[in-house]
Amino acid sequence: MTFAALIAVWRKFWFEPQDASPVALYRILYGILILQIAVVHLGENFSQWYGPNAVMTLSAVIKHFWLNEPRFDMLLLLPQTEGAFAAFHLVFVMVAVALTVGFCSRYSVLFVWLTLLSMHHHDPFNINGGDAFLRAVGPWLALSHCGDKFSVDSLIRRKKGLPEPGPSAPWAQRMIQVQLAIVYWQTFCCKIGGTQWLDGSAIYYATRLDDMFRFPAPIISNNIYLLKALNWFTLVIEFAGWTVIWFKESCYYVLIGLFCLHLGIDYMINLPVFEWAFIFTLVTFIRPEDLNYVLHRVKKLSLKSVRNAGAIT
Amino acid sequence: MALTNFIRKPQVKEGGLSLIFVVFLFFTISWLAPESTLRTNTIEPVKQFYLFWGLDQNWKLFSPEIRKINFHTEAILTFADGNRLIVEMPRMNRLNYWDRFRLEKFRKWSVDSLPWPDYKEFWPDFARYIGRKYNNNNNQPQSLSLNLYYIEIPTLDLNHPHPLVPVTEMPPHTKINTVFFYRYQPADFKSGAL
Repeated sequence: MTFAALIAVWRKFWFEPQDASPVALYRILYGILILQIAVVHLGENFSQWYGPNAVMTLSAVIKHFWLNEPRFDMLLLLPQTEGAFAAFHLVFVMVAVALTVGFCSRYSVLFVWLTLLSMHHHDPFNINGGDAFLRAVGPWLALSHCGDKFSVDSLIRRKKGLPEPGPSAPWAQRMIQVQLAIVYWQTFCCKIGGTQWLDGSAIYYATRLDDMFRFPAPIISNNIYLLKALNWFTLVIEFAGWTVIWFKESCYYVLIGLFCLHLGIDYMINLPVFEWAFIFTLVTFIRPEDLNYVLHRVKKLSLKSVRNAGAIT
Repeated sequence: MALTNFIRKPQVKEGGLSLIFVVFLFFTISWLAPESTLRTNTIEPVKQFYLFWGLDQNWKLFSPEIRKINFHTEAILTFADGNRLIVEMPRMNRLNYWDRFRLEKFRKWSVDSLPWPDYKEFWPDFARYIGRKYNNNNNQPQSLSLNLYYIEIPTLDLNHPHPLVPVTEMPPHTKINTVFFYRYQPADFKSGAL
């Protein structure tokens, strides 16, 4: 390989123009998760976590978590009243809706990311890895062309007679992919640094954490051979998640493996947001032409069924 | 004008962005590296910037070890007349599916943070919060104790003919440890008390 060839690979990876469909679909899925957090998990408890009479006082957070250093926190700008925090929560929900439907997409993502950042700094003790991941990819999504497709923004453009945006440099989408690979890299390295994952007992203990039980699966959780097989499967697929996922020939196999891993965990272990934050991000690895083909087929099938339903009635 | 035109050149734009990617990935991967003097020194120049913008990250998901105990926390409020009130944090295995889903933030906080030493600086806040919530001006809370109830998960014994204990036969949390005790002051019951 020559140095020039290496540069060509680098440029192709980050800058070769590509259709925005995968990142636009990811914007919708990201928005759904944000709405889930804002409405279901925070809901009426927003003020209890972040308001003026919250479980943790701001002075204690600044002293013991921020260590008296500056942190970004928009909530500090609000009047310290219950009403102001309720209004902010409402704005957060409205912007999350805007993000999902793709209205002022980039600004919506930016606002949502800054809100996540503020909430995580205001109370860092109620977030799981899924929340942290959404925060980590937020700035890259805001910098991407996530509003170019499947969005109110694109409808407005069409209505105004403006041309459809063509393929664009996907560097922000690539950064989201790299961020996901970094997650698998670190978690894999940490797992093989312990003993449970190497002796095959990790899934046994994971399925017995009673604060995380979701749906029962005794066929798996009470079978030592299956527990061990899943232990090794987890290690193999997480290794693939930052290595062979980058190769065209193996990418989709890895995506299917990771999808099964996260879906399996989500079935047995109750960690809302966590698994779906990773599952949804796998979408960014789907090649635009494949995604557009699938979406075209889905559209065609749904139109056909609507027509059939119309004919019956 | 000349500078703007220079920046707009594709090669310059790509070069600038590439530099940002390399720098960002270098510091992010360094941030995630195992604890060492080299790591500490490497991330020092960007540490405050990363913390300010929430770029710090950690993905030790279910690793390196999965905990081998099950537990839950309870706060016991003792009122002036001697009566006691048990305030149990939401216990996921006793809730229906929807509430388990809905109350994830309470699970995360009450299981992974509240009873552990990393949270100890916030225990007085917690005590005052609970005190205000259950305050009765005619019979005010006098003290709060935060208790951790726990039990070890039976060990997986691969040499035994029945190596594992079924999920449905996990032992109850019968061991107890009082992790924090707080005696209330009159000022604690005012809204927004610090």
